[in-house]
Amino acid sequence: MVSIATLRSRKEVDLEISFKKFEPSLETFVQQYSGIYRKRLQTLWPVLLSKIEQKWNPNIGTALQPQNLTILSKIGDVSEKNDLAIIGTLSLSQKGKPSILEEISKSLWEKESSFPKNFWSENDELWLEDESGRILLELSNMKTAPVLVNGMVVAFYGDVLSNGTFVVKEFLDPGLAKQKEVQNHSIDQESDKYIAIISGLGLNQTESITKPMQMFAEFLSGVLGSDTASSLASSISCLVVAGNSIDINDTSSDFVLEKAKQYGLANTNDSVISSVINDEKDAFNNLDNYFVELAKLLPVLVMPGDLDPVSVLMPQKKIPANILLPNSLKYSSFYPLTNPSWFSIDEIKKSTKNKSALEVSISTLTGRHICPTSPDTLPCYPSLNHDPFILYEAPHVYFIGNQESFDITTYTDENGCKVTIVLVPKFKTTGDVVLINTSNFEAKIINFEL
Amino acid sequence: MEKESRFQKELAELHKAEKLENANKISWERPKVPEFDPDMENIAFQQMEIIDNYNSLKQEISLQLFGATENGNSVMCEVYNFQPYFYVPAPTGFDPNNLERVRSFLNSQLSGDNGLNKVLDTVTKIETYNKESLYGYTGGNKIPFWKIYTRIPKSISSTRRLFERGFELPTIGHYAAQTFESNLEYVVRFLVDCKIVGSGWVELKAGKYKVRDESAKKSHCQIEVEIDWKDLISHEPIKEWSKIAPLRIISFDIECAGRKGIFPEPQHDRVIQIACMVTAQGQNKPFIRVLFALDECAPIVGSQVISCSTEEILLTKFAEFMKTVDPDVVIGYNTGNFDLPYILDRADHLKINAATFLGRLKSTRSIVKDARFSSKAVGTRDRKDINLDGRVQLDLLQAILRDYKLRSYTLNFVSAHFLGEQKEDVPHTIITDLQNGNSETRRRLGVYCLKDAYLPQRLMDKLMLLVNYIEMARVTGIPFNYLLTRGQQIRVISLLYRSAKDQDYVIPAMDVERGSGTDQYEGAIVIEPMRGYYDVPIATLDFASLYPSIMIAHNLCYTTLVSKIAIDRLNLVENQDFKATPTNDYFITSNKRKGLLPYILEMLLSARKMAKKDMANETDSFKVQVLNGRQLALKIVANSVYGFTGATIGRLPCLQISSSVTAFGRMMIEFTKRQVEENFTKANGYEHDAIVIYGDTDSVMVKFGTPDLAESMRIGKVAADLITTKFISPIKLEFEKVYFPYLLINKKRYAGLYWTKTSTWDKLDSKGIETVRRDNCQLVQMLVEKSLRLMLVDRNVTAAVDFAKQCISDLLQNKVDLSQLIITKQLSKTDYAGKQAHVELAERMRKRDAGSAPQLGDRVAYVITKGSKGALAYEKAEDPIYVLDHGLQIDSKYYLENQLVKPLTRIFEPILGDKVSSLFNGEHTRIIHLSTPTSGGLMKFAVKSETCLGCRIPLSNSKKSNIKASSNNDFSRAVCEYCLPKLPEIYLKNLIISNNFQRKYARLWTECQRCQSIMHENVLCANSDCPIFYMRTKAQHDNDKHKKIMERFETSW
Repeated sequence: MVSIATLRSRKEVDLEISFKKFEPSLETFVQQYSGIYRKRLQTLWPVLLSKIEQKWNPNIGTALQPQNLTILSKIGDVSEKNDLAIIGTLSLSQKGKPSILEEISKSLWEKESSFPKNFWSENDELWLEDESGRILLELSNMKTAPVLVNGMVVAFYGDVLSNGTFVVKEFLDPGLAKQKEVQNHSIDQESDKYIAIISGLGLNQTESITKPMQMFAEFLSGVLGSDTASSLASSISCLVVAGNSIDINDTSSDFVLEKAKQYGLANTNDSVISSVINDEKDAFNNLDNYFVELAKLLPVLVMPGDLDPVSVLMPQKKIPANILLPNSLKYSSFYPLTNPSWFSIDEIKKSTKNKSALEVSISTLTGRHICPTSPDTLPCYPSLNHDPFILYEAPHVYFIGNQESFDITTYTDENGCKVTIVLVPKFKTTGDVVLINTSNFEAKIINFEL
Repeated sequence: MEKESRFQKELAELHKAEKLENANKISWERPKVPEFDPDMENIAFQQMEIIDNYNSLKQEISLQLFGATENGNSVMCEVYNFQPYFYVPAPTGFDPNNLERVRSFLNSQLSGDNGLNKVLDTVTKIETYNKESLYGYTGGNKIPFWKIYTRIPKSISSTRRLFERGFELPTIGHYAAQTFESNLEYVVRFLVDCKIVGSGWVELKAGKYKVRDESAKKSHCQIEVEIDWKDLISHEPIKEWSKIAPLRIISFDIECAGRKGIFPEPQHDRVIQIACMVTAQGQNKPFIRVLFALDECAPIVGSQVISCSTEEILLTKFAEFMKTVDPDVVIGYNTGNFDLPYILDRADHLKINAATFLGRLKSTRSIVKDARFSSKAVGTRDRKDINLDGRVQLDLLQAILRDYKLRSYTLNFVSAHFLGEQKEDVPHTIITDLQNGNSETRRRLGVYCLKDAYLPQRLMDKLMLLVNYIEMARVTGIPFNYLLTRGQQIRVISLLYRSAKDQDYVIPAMDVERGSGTDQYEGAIVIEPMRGYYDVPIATLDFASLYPSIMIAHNLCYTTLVSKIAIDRLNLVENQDFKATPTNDYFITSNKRKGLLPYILEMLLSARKMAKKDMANETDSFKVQVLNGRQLALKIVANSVYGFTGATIGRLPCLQISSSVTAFGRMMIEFTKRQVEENFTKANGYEHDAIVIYGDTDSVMVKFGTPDLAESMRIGKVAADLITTKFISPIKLEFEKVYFPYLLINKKRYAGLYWTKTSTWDKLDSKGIETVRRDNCQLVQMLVEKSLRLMLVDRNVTAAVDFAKQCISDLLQNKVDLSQLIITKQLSKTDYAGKQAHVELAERMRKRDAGSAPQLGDRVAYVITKGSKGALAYEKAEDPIYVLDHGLQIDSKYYLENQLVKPLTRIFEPILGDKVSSLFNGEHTRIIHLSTPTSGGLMKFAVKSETCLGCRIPLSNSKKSNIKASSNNDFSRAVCEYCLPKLPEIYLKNLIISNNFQRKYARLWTECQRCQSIMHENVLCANSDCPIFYMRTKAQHDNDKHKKIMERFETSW
């Protein structure tokens, strides 16, 4: 999932890649995770404050007109009172969350369970906290339930009961960040330009380059299909490979092993892991050859995914192409990129009851944070005063890789800012490649199924 | 001007604070007492505590009953005119007309006893009743006893001594006699005579009681009344009177600002916070949450924070709070030995008198007394006794110490064990730092303190302690406070007195013979186990309530015990009038006289049956808990009757009873074994010959031979029913469960898969296998548990052996996580004989940092390191954190030999026999030396160069050799030229390891954030009992180390 390539699309592709902001900044592992939360809250607090003043101000005459709205500067200062606005970081207490402590302390005589796939339950407790403390939220009065997961910075309006519970009446998130003007998009309107996004090639040890992959390469080179197809191909200015180019899948068949891996409790003895290493290496040889083919045709931007061999900590680093894809790297049109967070959407979904990927994606845009469940359930780098996932700027296109099926929507905020959100399906299972029009951000899919 | 305005502001603020406080006070108070007319309305209340009160001015004794009404109003009821008394047998041929002369003679002897006014009689009354001694059957005739009343309870023992010594009695001559019932506590005497049970309901009829007005009140209770003891009505705790009043329970915790390395002392260290949670019995959340904090403390959501500028104000406010809230029950964790004494000692030290009034009596200060509690069941313990007159204390630590056997009793461990959650533990030094910070850091401390104050309440709820204790008090009749402060005996005594009174028995006051506790009699039987691994169902036949039912069946009692002499004198016929027991003691048969103990036991057992039946029919979950508490209490008490008769330093030992009981038990087990093996044979048409493979006390394990689970259950039932018919009722042999498979290691050591139905197994059960011994490391526990699981659940013995070998191999190759190797031992005073590893280590740690070193009473955690050559064992123990920080090597050989060999041999020997040693030798035990030490000795001077990540060959220093290493190796920091072709594999391998570390790091540190329930602050917790405490630090080190390795794969491309 990414947005942030600002594109000046002409006949010759002119790519300005600005992924720097998603480089992890790691000091050491001696520090803890509190710094990320503090930075997140400090950054988004003033945004929410001004939004509260705008939205819940009785003098302006909005829908909500509390007589005496008090905005708390610290949650710790809360007392039994009506008409309060509070700002803080959500802390979602879920019994169903994976817990390494439980995993370690449980008796070996218990039956093994698998790593939880969804954490939601009726008994979840939602708290709002800042540096001064936390307060339990009571949400039953809310008409619609927004996406509320651990780590989001949001504001609530409501009443505090004598037992210290906050009964929520209204909810606010920071809303879309400012958006850059789209440059030069009026030029060259007759011929549309496209960015192609392919996700989840999923090469493994047994399959080399599959027929659909071969067809896709042929399509790009213009030899496949009709004239319209080849003219469409020629209007594709670059290709983004959005994660999970390989899929060795060594453990998912054994849920006990998979669980151990998820908790970082896996056995890493040479004998245990050597077969995986060899499989991965073979898969990468094939992948390298494929990317060479593609890089000959057009710029190829390769992002990692959760199955690709890079650090599991978010944001993900570039795939070390100099080690694993040395031949592709010889082409100047080949660009390994970082991935700020592409599987964070899937992770957020686990904490919710039944939210769709699109709903969740919108919530990360309006929450101005693309990876709120890091570090809680999604591992990330610890940092003293840096949170790499805050959106200081809203993208024009926001795509999520490795989804079950294609979907698209446009989110428009009250200021008229528009973001196109695209779910890019797994190529391996669907054969779909997504094309995004660089001038109007409309999307189409081409299918390469046999 | 400016000054004035500031002053005004201050005043206004003070006023505001005062108003707030008054508002608080009202919300803290108990519900208002409804208007009532003493001449028209009864008062019923549940009494929780009884204090005897001696008015030295009036020289009169009274009893004060404290409790609460159904409305939740507190009551103090003072009961007058209940006089203490005891019995002595009247001399034969005594003329009752001379009784008054005896009395005046006694009074002349006792004049001025115990500070009584010499004008007043010590002995106030003597009456004559026909009674019979409880001890021994002598024909069943009642004889006259004197019932001697004294003015005050203390005079009982001096009067008693007079009788025991003997004196010249007018018209009779020298008279000396054993006394009866002269050693019963006054309060229990009162309860027995009024038929009141502990924590039961009493009712005062309209017109019979007098209400004290506010000025005459002696207590802070809302209602205070007085009444004559004869007018007191007690309700048996059944039906509507089995309810429990909405008692107020306060759970509290204090924090002290200790100095570095010294446990807080009340002469020096301040009390800085007191957190209180008040709950009404029957409700699941506290309705008052208050924190008293020294110095300004920022507000805490959901709690009232009362900042106090001085410690004096803090302690005084706490005492006022107690008075206002007026709790019936005071609970906490180690509050009896730490928190309460600390508050009182500190108040004494600071001379704050007002802070020492924590009880309900207006004129009584709470004081700390040293006490010792010793009991055969729980051993000897020193403790502190604090009077909170009128309030019941329940120290969770004491209760858990008494009822549960655990590895450790720290609040950390106990809450992890029972609540299944770890507790954040802020180290002492950080507590002081937080206090000395600002109002925000003190808030952090306050949140922590409040959490700790809530834990005892949650523990009590979880363990149902209050309800169970109330039921125990009701079943046994003794006051609630006795349950924790007294032993088992008083419970039986109370029951014995209650029944004896109804049947005109009097109970002899036997002299406790000190040092006669060595009298031993033969105990229960253990049938020699036939060790082995049984892959067929093993049925277990149990005697239900074995000892109580023996006593009932054979009519064993004090009242039925008959001597040879008495038999001859009374011409009793064996087997008709009396029977001999296997120990050749004689007891009267039940058709001639029903024994008192069998009567009590029958009552207890049928009450238990009843409670269980009611429980099954009850739908209200709270009432179910009450009933469950009752049936548990009844079971415990029934079982303790036997122990009471065998307690040689007890109040009424009778070894003829206890040794007969065990002898019957032994016979029955042997008989059962014979019956099983004679009846269930091939000759009798069964497929196999049954064999009893093991038996202990009240159960036998039978191998019926059939491999079929359902069939073994069927035969088990048949056998139980068949053999039951051969015993006297109510003895009953029950078929309860089948173990399949079953691993019988030794006497009292076995494990098996437990089945009660054929569909699924219930649990994996084990006895005596050291999975929980404290001085074992986690690895042992893990290994034993997993091996047993593989053996018994998966029934794969080979896999169990392979697993054990794999673990040993991992251990020897240093692949076991350090946190699994930690051993803990308590640092206690008596440890200075010989050099002990943990004592030595604690000393070394003190030298490094006095602040964080373990203190007396703490558990010291350590691992055994390789150490230098020839280092002694105790020198090789090291602090796990130090080991991680300095990269020290673990002595895996030590762990293998001293930790693993014994337990593994034990569980594998029944399977492998002599081959068990192959676990510890062979291919898998090859040791690979992984790395050289990174600190100490010569290493300081060695230049460290990086080695190839593929083949470990040293890489030439990249910077220096830049020119020379012209080559095309861009990865000269990672691999040598020979390994360069294998670079992808080497990278991928290190990545897998690195990712494993990184996931672990993230999971661990987010776990701690969740546990401390704040994400915006760093984790401070130092709870080393927590299984992830060391893992957490190790994850930091592993990741830092591995980060450097991964960086070596980076090139400037």
